[in-house]
Amino acid sequence: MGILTYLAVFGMTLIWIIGWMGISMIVGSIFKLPLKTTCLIGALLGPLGFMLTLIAGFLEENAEPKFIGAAPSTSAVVDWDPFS
Amino acid sequence: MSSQFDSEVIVSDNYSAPPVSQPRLLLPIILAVLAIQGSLLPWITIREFNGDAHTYNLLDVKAGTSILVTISAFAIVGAVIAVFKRITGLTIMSLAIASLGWMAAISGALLGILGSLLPSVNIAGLDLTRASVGQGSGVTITIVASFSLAFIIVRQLPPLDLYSPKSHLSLLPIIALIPLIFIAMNMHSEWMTLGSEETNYQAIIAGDSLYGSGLLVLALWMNVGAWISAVIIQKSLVAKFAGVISILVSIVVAVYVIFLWVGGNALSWLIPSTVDNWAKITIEPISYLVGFSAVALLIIGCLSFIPAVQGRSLGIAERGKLGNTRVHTSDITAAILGGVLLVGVVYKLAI
Repeated sequence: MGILTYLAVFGMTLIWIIGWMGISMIVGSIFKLPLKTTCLIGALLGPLGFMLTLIAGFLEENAEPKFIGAAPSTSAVVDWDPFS
Repeated sequence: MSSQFDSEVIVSDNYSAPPVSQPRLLLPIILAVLAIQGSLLPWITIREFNGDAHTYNLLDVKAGTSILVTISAFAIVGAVIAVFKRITGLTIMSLAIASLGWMAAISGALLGILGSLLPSVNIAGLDLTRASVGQGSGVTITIVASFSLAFIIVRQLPPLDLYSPKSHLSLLPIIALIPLIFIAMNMHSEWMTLGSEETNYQAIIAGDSLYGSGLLVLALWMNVGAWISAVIIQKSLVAKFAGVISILVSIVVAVYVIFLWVGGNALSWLIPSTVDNWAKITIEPISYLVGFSAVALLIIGCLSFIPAVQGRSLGIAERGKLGNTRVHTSDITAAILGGVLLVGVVYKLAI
């Protein structure tokens, strides 16, 4: 009886943790958040992690781009010699 | 839960690498111990109609000791790994403690379901059957400690680390958490007593026995989470979101207290004096304190919309030298928590 209770309690907790991890992963993927972050947030914080993922997602959506790369405007030159 | 808890590891080579920030180890360990200690405190309280109360914790569950030993073993393994690989070890420890926190949370939810299955005994609109089962203080301690530990890990992860400044914490969320956690804890305390100790009949009415209290408790904990998020993510959007929930929650709690006070006084006025002590109605001081906390929370919720208040912060820079050693704020926090924990254990052993 004790072993069944042990398995039931841990099983229920595991389902809860994995469930919220999955939900946070799905929501995080919509906002293109890092997978490791969303997994850990969901597993550790449960429903609160889901809320935190949403908030982080909205903040990242509205954030300014971190790197502004400017492509050269010159046309590509074929067969140029880099050692010349 | 912020950078005062960090130790700076400066990489001193020819390349200008930024300093790597890692959480210090003492506070997470103390929080883990606190969560485990919370599981030894009452999780469920059952009150009898003669005024007696029975408390149960995780160890009263079949295989409860094995569950606690397993979780503690994982937490210890995590702490050992954290010595070498800080974030990995703390993540393992936090996952173990989070499972304990979720057990506490799920036990509360199951208690609500169990309470709803029991036949109701209604007196003056109060369900005395629901008043007979309630949550213990251990649940709150375990959940808050496991959440705090989880947030230490979560704030290190990108992109949340961008929104979590290293030198200060927002003041408003920290102030808001004081009345909020007080209300959340005392929803399970005695708000009103019917009868008296001299008679054999005594019914204790807790805040969680009132109509719709299940949803309210859920909203309260969601609000606690929202304000903790506002400590971590220092953006006005998060503070305003938490503020809105606080305003709604505080209004409902205040209405509960007012209705209980009015209803209790009206009932004691209506009851004929011939029934004597059996129907004596006492409104407990805790209900007034909950009412004042609700008003404070309402004000704090409104303040979250004022930018000048949002900007107030608490400096958490590393402390100066104490003798020959540098003392980090996280270590001081851990020492205070450890002291409280020790006093609690000694007090329990002394009784």
